Amino acid sequence: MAVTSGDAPEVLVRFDQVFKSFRTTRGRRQVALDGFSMSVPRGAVIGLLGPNGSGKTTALKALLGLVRPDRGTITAFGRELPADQRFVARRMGALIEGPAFTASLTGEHNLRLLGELHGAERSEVADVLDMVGLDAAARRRSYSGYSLGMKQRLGVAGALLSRPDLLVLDEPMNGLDPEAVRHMRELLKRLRDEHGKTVVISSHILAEVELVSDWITIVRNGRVICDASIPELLSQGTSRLVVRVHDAVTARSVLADHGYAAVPADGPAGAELQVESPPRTDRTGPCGSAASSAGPGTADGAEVLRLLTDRAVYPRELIVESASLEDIYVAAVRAADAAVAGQEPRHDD
Amino acid sequence: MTTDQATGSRLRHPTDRTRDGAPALPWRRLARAELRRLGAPRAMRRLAIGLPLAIVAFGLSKLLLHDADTTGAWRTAEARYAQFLVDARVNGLPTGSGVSARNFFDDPRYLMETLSFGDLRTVITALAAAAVVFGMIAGGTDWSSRVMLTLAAAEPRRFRLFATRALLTAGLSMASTAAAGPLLVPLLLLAALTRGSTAGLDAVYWAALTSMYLRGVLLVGLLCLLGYSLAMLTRKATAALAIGFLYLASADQIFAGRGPRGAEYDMNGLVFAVLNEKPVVPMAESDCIAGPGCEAVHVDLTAADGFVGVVIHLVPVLLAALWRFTRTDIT
Repeated sequence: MAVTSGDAPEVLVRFDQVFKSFRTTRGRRQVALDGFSMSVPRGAVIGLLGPNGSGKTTALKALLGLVRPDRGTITAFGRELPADQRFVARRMGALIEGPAFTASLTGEHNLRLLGELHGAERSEVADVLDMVGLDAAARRRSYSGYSLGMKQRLGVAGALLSRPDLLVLDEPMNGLDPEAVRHMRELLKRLRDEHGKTVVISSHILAEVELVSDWITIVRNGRVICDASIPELLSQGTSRLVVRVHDAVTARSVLADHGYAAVPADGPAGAELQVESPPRTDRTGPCGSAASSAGPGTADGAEVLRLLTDRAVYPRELIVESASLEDIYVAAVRAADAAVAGQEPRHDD
Repeated sequence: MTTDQATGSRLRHPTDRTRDGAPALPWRRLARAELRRLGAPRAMRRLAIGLPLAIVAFGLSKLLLHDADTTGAWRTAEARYAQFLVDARVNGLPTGSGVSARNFFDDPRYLMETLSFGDLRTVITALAAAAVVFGMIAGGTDWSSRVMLTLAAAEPRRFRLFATRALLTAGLSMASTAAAGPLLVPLLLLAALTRGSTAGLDAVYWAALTSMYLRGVLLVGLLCLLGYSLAMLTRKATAALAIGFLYLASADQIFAGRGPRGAEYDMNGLVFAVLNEKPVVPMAESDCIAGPGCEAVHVDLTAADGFVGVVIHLVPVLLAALWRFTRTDIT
C-alpha cells in the first residue's frame, strides 16, 4: 500500500526494497524477493496474493525473523527488523507454512505448550479454541487424527494465543470446509472491526480474500505488482459489456465505426455482442498500466448506448459485468510474467 | 457452535489484552515450555516407564543368574582340572606347579566388589547409546514437524532457544542416568547379600563406584548433546541418525593423528576409558585379550583422556549446529 503522510493510516509494517535470494543445493542463486516493497496499515486486513514461488511466504518469514533479507529494510511497530525482532515478536501471532504441532499430543495440549511461551492461562487456550470453533471432542483428539481443516483452525488458534496486534496468516483457508471458511472470515472481520487487529493473510482462494480483505497486494517474482484497496482494484479492472440487439450486423458496423470491437458472445447467434474498446495504454493504476492493458479496454456502456440509439439500433438489453478479483489477478500476473519473460525461475514458497 | 457464539463473547477475553508489558520471553517460561514439550510425546512417557523397568529387570537378573552355593561350581572346576591334566599328559605339555582347580573355577556368586563395576558400566553404556538417539530425536523432531518455525518466531533470540533446548535435553538424559544408579545399586547389593558376597565394599570401593557413576552421568550428557547437535545441524532426526552413526563409525579415522597426543578417538574405546574403574591401566600390566576395551587400555587412556576425546567429537558439531541455527535462515 502506498502510504504517504497526511491523512494516511498509521503504517504498522513496512517493507522497503527488500531483496532476498537463496542458494539451491546445486549452488544456483534463486531470487525470492526482488525489491519487495509494501506497507501494512494498522487495523486493516491485507490480502497477499501471488502464484506459488512468488515470494509471499519469504516476505512473511522475513517479517517473523525466520529469514534475513540480503538488502532492504523491514520495519514493524516503528522498530527496525531484525534488530528489534524481540519487541516485534511479542506483538505478532503467526501461522506460517501451515499449522505445525506435535502429532502425538491433543490439540489442546499442543496449544497449552504454545501458551507457555506466551504466558497464556489455560482459560485463554480454551477461549482461542472456542474462537476458531474447535469443539471439546476435537480438542481431546490427538493432533495426528485431525483433518486438514481442524489443523488449520488449531494453527490460527495458536497464532491468536499471543494476543497479537498483528496476525500473520499464511494460507489460513486451506482445507477448510465452506462452513469453516465462513467462520474464519467472520473471525477475521471481528478481529479487525471489534479489536482493531491488523491481519495479513496470504491465500490462493481469491474469492475469500476479496470478501475479507481491505487491501490487496499481488506479488510476482519477488516484487509487488499490484497494491490497492479492493474497490480501487475492482474499478480498475476490465469490465465486460454485453449488448443484446435485434440487428447485430448493423450494431457491429456502428460500433466498429467508433473503434469498438463487438464480437458475438454466448447466447442466440448474432443477437448478443460483447463490446470491447480498443486497448488503452495510457491508463495507470494500482496494478500498473501493464495489467490494465493486458486485455481489451472496457467499453463505456453509456457511450455504446448513445451510439447505437443514434443509429436507431435499440438494444434489448445492456449488461455490464464487473471484473472479478480473479480476472484482475490473472491479468496482473500475466502482465508481470510478460515483463520478466526469460528470467531465472524463482524460489518456491 | 454458531459463528456468533464462537467469535463474539469469547473473542473479547484473550485478544483485548496485549502483552505490551512483557519485553521478552522470560527464560524460565521458555525452559518450562520446552521441558514440557520434551516430555510430552507418548514415546517419552513410555520411556519414562520403560527405563526404570529395564533397569530393575537388569538388577533382578543378577539374582537369577548367580548362586551362593559354590559346591556345583567347584565340582565342575575339579572335573575340568582333571581333564586338563589328562590332556596335558597325552600331549606332553607341562602342567605347571601354579595351576590348580581354582584356575578352572567359575564363581557363581555375585561378588559385588568386582562385578558391580562391569554391571554399572553396561547400564551406563546402554544409556549413553540411548542418549545419543534421544538427543537426535529431541533435536530433530521439531524440525520435521515444523514446530521449530513457531518456536523461532516466538523466541527470536536463537542462541537462547538453542541453549535452552540443549541444556534441557542433556539435563534430562543426565537425570535419567543419575536416577538409574540409586535404582540399580541396591538391587546389585541385594544380589550380593543373598547370592554372593559383599566383601571388599570399603570406602575406597564406594568412592571408585561413585566416581565412575558420576563420570557416566557426565558422559551421557555429553553424548546426548552430540546427538542433539547433529540433529540441529542436519535439521532432521532421521538424517541425524544416519549421519550420526556414520560419523561415530568413522570418527577415529577422522581424528586419528590429528587430536591431542595422537590418542584414541574410537567412541567405544572412549566410553570404556571414561567408565573404566581403574583410572590408568598401564599397557604392560593389561591382562585383556581383545575388544575395544582392550584398545583403550592399551593406549593407557585415563578417564580424563576419554572425556577429552568425547569433547573433541562434540565441540565441532556443537559449534557448527549453533552457527547454522543462529546465523542462517529457518526455511
